[in-house]
Amino acid sequence: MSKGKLLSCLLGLMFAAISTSGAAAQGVLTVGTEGDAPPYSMADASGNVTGFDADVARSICAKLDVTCKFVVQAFDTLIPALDAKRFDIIISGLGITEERKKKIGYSIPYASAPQYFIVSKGSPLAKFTSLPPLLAALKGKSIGVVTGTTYSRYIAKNIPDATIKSYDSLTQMESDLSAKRFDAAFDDGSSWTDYLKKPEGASFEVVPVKVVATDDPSTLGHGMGVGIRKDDQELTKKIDVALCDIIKSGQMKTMSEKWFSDDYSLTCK
Amino acid sequence: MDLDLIQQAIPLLLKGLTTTLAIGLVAIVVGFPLGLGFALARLSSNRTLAGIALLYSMVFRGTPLLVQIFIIYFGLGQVQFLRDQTALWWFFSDGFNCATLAITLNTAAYTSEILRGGLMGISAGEIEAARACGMSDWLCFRRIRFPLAFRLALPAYANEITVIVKESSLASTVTVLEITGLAKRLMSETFAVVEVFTLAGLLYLIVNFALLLVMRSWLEPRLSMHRNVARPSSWLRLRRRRA
Amino acid sequence: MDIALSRLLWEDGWGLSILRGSAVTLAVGVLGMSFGLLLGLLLAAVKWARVPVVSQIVDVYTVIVRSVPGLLVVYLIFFGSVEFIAKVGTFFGYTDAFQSAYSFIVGVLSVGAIAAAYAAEVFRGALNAIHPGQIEAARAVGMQTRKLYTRIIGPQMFRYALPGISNVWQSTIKDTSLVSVTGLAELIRVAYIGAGTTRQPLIFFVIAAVVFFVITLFSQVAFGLVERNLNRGVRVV
Repeated sequence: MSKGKLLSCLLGLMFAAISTSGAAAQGVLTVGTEGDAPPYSMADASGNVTGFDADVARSICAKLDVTCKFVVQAFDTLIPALDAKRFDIIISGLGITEERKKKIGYSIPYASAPQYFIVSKGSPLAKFTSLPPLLAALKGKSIGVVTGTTYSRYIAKNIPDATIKSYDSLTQMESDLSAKRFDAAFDDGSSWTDYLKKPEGASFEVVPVKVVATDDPSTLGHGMGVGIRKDDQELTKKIDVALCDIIKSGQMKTMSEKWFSDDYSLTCK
Repeated sequence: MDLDLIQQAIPLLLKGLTTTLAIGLVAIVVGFPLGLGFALARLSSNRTLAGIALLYSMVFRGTPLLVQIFIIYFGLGQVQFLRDQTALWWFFSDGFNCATLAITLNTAAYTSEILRGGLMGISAGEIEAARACGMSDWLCFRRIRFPLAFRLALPAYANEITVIVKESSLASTVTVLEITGLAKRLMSETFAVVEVFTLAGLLYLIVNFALLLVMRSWLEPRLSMHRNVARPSSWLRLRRRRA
Repeated sequence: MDIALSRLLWEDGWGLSILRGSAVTLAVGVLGMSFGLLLGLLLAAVKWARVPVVSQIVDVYTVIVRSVPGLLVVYLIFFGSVEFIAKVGTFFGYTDAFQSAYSFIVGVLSVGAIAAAYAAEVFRGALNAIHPGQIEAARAVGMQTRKLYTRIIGPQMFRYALPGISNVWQSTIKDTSLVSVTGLAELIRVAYIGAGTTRQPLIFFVIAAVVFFVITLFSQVAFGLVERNLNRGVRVV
């Protein structure tokens, strides 16, 4: 057998072993998601995705009468990969910001969660009740964030003296948080609700200072939306309609309460 | 090509360069003596010592550096004993320390192989002559074996140094902000993937080039001053012969 | 500790995931190496034959790929042209499955590209080690070029290159760990997910290290056997 044929055989065998069983030629919507950020997007070793974002994606696909296919990637690689046409849309707690709007388009915002800092139980930082003194106290401390998120942008802008520890994923950051490798972490309140339920979260508490998008929309954005390529106008319209349906029917509220124990859904005008 | 982007990227990546060079420096300064120690252990007549050195070399050369970094950073971070000792934890809690430790241990293994090759490549006659002159083991090592071995091993060690610089990029997987880590962060903010990574690649290229240049044109001739060193390229000789 | 380990591996199903991850790692390694060897041979031949412009380009390629970290090569190919990778997928007959095989193809291509640069140097050294007198003699007796390559140059080059190629293989199989950043479910990625889910990073990464160790040990033995076989009858001066 010639080298070329042998190579093709080998490659073919490997593809058969690895590729998931045939996605239908039509009616498939590929969704890029993080897979590493409970409770938004959790993926297990075989690629099954669960979480709030997965539910939102599946309800959109149901409305559009297509099958959802998830592609799991690190959060900060989602937008460039969408641009490179690796998938059709991004549903991964993607905040809508002006900077990102320069690169991709968005659907209507469908949810918005407040952000909180989390610190060790008994830390002096936990005593603050308003934002400005808290930000001042955080100067020079180390703060954990996920790379590429609006939260990392917020910290970089508002607490420039802090040492920022950037992680590729929320679970990685949480693992280092449990190991007390930094002083405080900044992310969605829903992430912390989920974290505090776990045994490692027992020695941590959330600082009761609520940070909402309106505090600093230039970095925190205007809520979460579905990321879509700018030239995909038709798909954007279809998704907007589907999202509106889902919000108006109360499905979004149910999903939000299921994962966050709180209603973070936004209204559709 | 966005000139604004390049102007923004260069100072940031240069900051990462200092971290990269710091990792490389520690790895060389600590890794070389460590590697030398293991090389001597391998060549010693003490079987246990040689066995330990062999095991060390096989483990660290047989497993990927990424796994070694993960074991030291994530694995040791799980050990409660370490977390409770403030002094130890102060060291292991930092990604930079863990990654540098892993890279140092890794390069020590490869260095031990390189130096072992160098030590074994010395012709027996020179050592016999040294012994005949009544040199002690330590004097013989200091004046004869080590300089000769080092000269023999230099091309391979120069290569190893460039590998160290490249491997420092793996530190970015454990939050260290060296060149690759900063490039990723920059990419996630500006979304200019190709430009940012090309710049980062260029930076590594320049560093490695400079290192190789220093090694080849300064260090090697300095160590071989006793003979005319034509550039040891076999293809050059081949060309002349064929012509 | 033993009970916990067996529970982890068998009941929670991580043992199977690790095996599957190891299979993917081996697949990427073998395919990447094959691609790298072919490309490396081609590049070495070009440099050896000293084709005017192309040799310089090949030189630049090998220098760049050997000086730049493998992690950057993986990132660049990962974010590079998706269309190109789609073409590679369809060339081998997989149109629909390309999406899920994307990371796999990226892995093979990047690992192969790195392997090719090092293999080219090894092959070039091997080609240069063949005594030019033998080639002159072959031409003097009027041997056809094809026979020259298959009877004289080929076997000797293969023998000289083998130690270097075994080194390239060792570093290639370890480079597959870099592909984990693309999300491909190979061994390191599975260990990473397992470590995150079960909060037991030490066990998972040590297991991953052991698997790699076994693979490299086995490869070393295998290559050693082949070397001894090839060097049969060669007098060592």
